[in-house]
Amino acid sequence: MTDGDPVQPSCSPAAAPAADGIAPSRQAELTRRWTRGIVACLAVGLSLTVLRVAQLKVAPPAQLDAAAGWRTSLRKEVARRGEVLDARGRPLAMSLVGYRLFCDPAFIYERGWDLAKDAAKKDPTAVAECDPFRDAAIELSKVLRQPPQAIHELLKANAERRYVVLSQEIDEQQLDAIRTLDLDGVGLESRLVRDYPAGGLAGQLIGKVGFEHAGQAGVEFAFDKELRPVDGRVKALRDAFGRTLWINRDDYVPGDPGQDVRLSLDLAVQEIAERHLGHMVEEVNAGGGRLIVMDTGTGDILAMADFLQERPGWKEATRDPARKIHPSLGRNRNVTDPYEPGSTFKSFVWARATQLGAAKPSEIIPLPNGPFVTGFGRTIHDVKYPGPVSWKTVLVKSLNGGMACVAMRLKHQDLQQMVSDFGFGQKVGIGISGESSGIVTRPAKWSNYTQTSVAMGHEIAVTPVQMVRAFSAFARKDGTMVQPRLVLPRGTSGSDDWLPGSKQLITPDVLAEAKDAMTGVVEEGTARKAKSEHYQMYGKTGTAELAVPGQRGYDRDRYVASFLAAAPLENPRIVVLCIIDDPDKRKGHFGGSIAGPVVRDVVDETLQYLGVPYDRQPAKPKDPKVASR
Amino acid sequence: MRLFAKLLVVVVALGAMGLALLALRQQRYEVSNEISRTHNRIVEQERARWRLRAEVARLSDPADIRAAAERRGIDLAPIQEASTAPEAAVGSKSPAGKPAATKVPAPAKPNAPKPKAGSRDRR
Repeated sequence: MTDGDPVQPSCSPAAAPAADGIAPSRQAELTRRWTRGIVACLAVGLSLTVLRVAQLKVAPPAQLDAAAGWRTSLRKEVARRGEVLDARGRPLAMSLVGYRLFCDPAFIYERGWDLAKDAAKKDPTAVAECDPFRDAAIELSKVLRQPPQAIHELLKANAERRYVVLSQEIDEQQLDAIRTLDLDGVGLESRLVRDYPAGGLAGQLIGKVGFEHAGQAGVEFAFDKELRPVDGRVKALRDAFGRTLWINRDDYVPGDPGQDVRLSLDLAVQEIAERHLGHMVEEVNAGGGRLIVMDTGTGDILAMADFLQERPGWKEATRDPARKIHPSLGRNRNVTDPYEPGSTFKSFVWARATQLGAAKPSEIIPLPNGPFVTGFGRTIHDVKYPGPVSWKTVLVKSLNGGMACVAMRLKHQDLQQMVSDFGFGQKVGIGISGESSGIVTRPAKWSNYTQTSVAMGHEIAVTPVQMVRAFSAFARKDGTMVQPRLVLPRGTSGSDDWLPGSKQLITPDVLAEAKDAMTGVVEEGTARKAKSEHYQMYGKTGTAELAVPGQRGYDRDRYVASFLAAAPLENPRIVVLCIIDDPDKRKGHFGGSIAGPVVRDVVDETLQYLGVPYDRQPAKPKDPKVASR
Repeated sequence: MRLFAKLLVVVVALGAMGLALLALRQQRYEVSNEISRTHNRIVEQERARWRLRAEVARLSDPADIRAAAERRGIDLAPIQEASTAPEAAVGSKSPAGKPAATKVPAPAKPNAPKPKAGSRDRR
């Protein structure tokens, strides 16, 4: 607009004079300024808000950080320890999650007083009557089923502490009750608990775990590395009530469970073995008993039982202090404790002597009608003195004189070689710690006395597991000895029928002769009480005197009675060894009479359980008592 | 006035964006929370499964089965008919090459003691 232009009437408010006297242009300017000011303030406010958010996110104040940090919790993700399973996958040892109940006495005390002070505003006597521990003890006693006084004392004695365990393990009902009560200062801590569903069955074999869930004995200890899990961790954000809000992906590391260990043991066979062995140990008031059932084809240990019994007034020959702490902490004597096998050892000597041609089964051994005196002047005693008998009868009747006579025909090296070939003096290596290799006289110390003693199963100590391994050579058609197996390899079904054994130890013809002679032991010899109605078996009894501890010689009134057998006769499926330690002589002490019936019953039930057909026609019972057996 | 209107639009748009972000954030939290709750439920279920497995194992203990069968007078027998003829397939395994699944009752011995190694327990 120029000065020369005519003035046009304006319609704009700025151009018109304002009613309040402010020029329109001035009003527009003010509006613009206010608008800019508001925009600037909003911009600054928003910027400050963004900055504050950034600051809170990136570098929050310590106090705020502490408050926020309280809402996250890092906890252990409990991983399961591997299971110990039997051959059919039945759990023998497994882990469960148990809950430990703990409290924070210091917190309970402070919280109780805070509540009392609040209550005092309405009721002044509330403070005077306040005892936070008493109130907590009354509530907890209902759950723990303990007298409130005991809990009160515990809380008072630990008033300054922040962590006191109230119960190492609570049951399901207690868990629900605690969760319902929701007591301040009382918490639950999950932990693994080892459960043994089969109870004490195979206790010494399976072993036990300690407080840290680490193996302490048996398989639990021997395979701890495989069974042990690796715990995970989880960091969770929690709300004000401590409930889990969310878990970030990066904050969750899952646990790695331990590997399962599958044993060759069959729980049902183990139960059969323990039932019959326990019955006999009690019946003859023995100091203990051991029993092994082994599959002849694979070497699988189907059952391994071990009892010890303390008898008032007896000076026990075998002690196991750990077993007093807990039965499962005891050593597995089938593997750790050697014993003198006595006459059961004659079967090996008999077979080797026959194989080397030192005697033939039908050969008459010139025995006197009294004690046999060896060429070097040792007198060999027997229970009976039948006079000259066949070499087969020597084994059937278990004649010490006959064994000594033929043993003297062998070279010392022959017998030493036999001992070595059958694995005596060498660890079996079934994976259980503390295994003994037995005691064998060194060749340098081997005398004629040793030669005749070993022929009768004395002056040599073997473990039960060594005995069943050696006897498997009589139970396998090829005369080889199978390696006992307690743990099945991973990835196998455990259903092998046959596994190769050692080198051939017994030739087929000698094997047949030995089986024939040992069948005679059961049918007409020292193990007549072991004769089964259903299955034919063969084996050898043993009754060895116990050595006097710390002295030379033997105790004439204390014995180890045993019976070692295989069944059925034609195609043996199992080898069974039963040892009765130190029976009461008045109640029976011969291997055939006390260990034999145990083996018979175990063989009967086990073979029936395994589905093996009977190979003997049951005799018609004459006596109702016999029929009911 | 136009500027004010623009400002209002911007503020409203920013507010809407903020609300949308907050809603998304809330949804994310809820999903995360649901995931963590599901995780906890899985852990609980897993533990319950362990407990049930232990209970099944305990109830299927061979001694208990035998005792229960005896109580009810059930005469358990091997799946494979036990032949009494000596010339029968002596020593052979069951047709599947595996042992039979059931077992025969014990020769009933009165007052046979329970195994001594200990009672059913947690160690």
